[in-house]
Amino acid sequence: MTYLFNDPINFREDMIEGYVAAYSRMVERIPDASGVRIAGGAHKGKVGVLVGGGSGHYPAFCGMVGRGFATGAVIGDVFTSPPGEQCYRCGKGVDGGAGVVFSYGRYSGDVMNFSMGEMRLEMEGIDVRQVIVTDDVAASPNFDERRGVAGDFYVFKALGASAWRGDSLDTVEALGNRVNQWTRTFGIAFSGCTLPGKSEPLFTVAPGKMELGMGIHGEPGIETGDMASASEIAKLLVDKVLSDAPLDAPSRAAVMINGLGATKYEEMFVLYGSVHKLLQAAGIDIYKPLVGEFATSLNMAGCSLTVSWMDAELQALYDYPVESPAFTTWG
Amino acid sequence: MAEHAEIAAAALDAALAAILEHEDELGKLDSVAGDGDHGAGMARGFRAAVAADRNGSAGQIIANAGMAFANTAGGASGALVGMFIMSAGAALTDPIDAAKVHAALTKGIEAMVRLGKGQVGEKTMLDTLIPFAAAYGEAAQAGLSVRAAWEQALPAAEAGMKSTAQMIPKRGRSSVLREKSLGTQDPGATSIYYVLAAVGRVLAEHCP
Repeated sequence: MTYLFNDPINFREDMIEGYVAAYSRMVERIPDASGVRIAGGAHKGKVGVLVGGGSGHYPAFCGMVGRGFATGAVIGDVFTSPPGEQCYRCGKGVDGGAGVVFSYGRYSGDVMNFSMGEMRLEMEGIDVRQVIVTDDVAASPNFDERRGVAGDFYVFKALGASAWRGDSLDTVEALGNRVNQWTRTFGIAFSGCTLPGKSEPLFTVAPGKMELGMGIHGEPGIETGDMASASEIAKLLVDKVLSDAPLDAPSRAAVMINGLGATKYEEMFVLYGSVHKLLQAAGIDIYKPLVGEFATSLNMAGCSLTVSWMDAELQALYDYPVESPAFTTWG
Repeated sequence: MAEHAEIAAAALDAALAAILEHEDELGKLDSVAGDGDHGAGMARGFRAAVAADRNGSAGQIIANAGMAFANTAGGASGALVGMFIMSAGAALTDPIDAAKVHAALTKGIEAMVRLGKGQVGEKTMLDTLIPFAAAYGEAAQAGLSVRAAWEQALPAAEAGMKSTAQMIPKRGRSSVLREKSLGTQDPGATSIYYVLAAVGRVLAEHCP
């Protein structure tokens, strides 16, 4: 269930209002648009990084706006990509005169709407690049046709760091794409999720079963498996991700267990203990792992494993200090 | 007979009413392989479409409605349906006859295909729209009126919609699920049929 809402039609707007009220020390509303940006507005001379997508995924996407992170986020309705008009307005709202990068997980609606926003900005002479995240190994054997899920975090982190330190548009874009090339995710779900105002979940998982390879929009998985222990699930996740490991990547990698909204941190730590050992045994040089919520699917129970391989150049971006409502680190 | 502009406005109202009537059903179809929000998205789009500027010709009213739809609905369907309505409206010039309606449908489909890169047989809205436009074109060429051609073309839209149940998706979010959606009608193809049927009822009421 989603318990807290007023009129479900206004869920997004009500959410943005409360979010900005809570975190006005870091973010502000983009005027006349469905989005937020870094408090004080875009920085002159720096590349603007606009992330986004539907809502229901917090801390993706608006939680990742702040110093050293995304410049802004365009916010769609629950599980719905924002309209092209809003991508345009928010893109304009993060433009500091050095060009804008759009970055989001690859879903057809997002691609269409961000592309329409890009066209509008290009007509006004703003140089726009798109860094589309495709980390979900379950979605397709073809890398370019995959969905973007929890791996968004690593790509946004690199884009934000690169833009913040003053890199050119070409460089920011190239670094973001490099991170995506080396990032892989696989997820599992133990329950479906329920949209605000609805009484039925989008899908149900039978007792004793789990869904393998679902997205983060309440879509069911690509297959159903038998429920298993945490250590067995750890093995499954590690096998799925490593079987698709990029061949050209170094051994060092950031690792993330991402909760999908209704799975406890303690459970995820239990899972991570096994994941850590398995990855080490597989020769991965684990760097600053993360366990928590980074891309949720409303109140879905489940989690995903992301591995993002990195060389020294990408590691510097991952280490770069960042301050945002959802994630703050001093390096 | 009412003015064309009034008929266009009434058709948009009827489309919204039809989508609201079927909103939950469309959501359920979408939840089989998608995220269950298709009905809500279409409702959001048509609410904006009926609230758009209604001054000007039938074509202008429809184009304004399409723009409002695209700016509000969000999602892939918001972009695609919005572009379809906007492009069809922009192509529809007075005085309206069946041949011009067919040309407008064709322009709308072209815009949709350009944006979504789809074709017939991929379990999308196009499986309803393209057979409908083809049948409408034949009826128009045979000299039928705007209304009679619509009536004659509607069964092709219905057959197209139903054919999506046996298709495996190649595009869109549901393409990830592929086999899982077999046996279920495409929600987009279904909502487009409800809209076309609603417009047909308005034409039957207002046109000779």
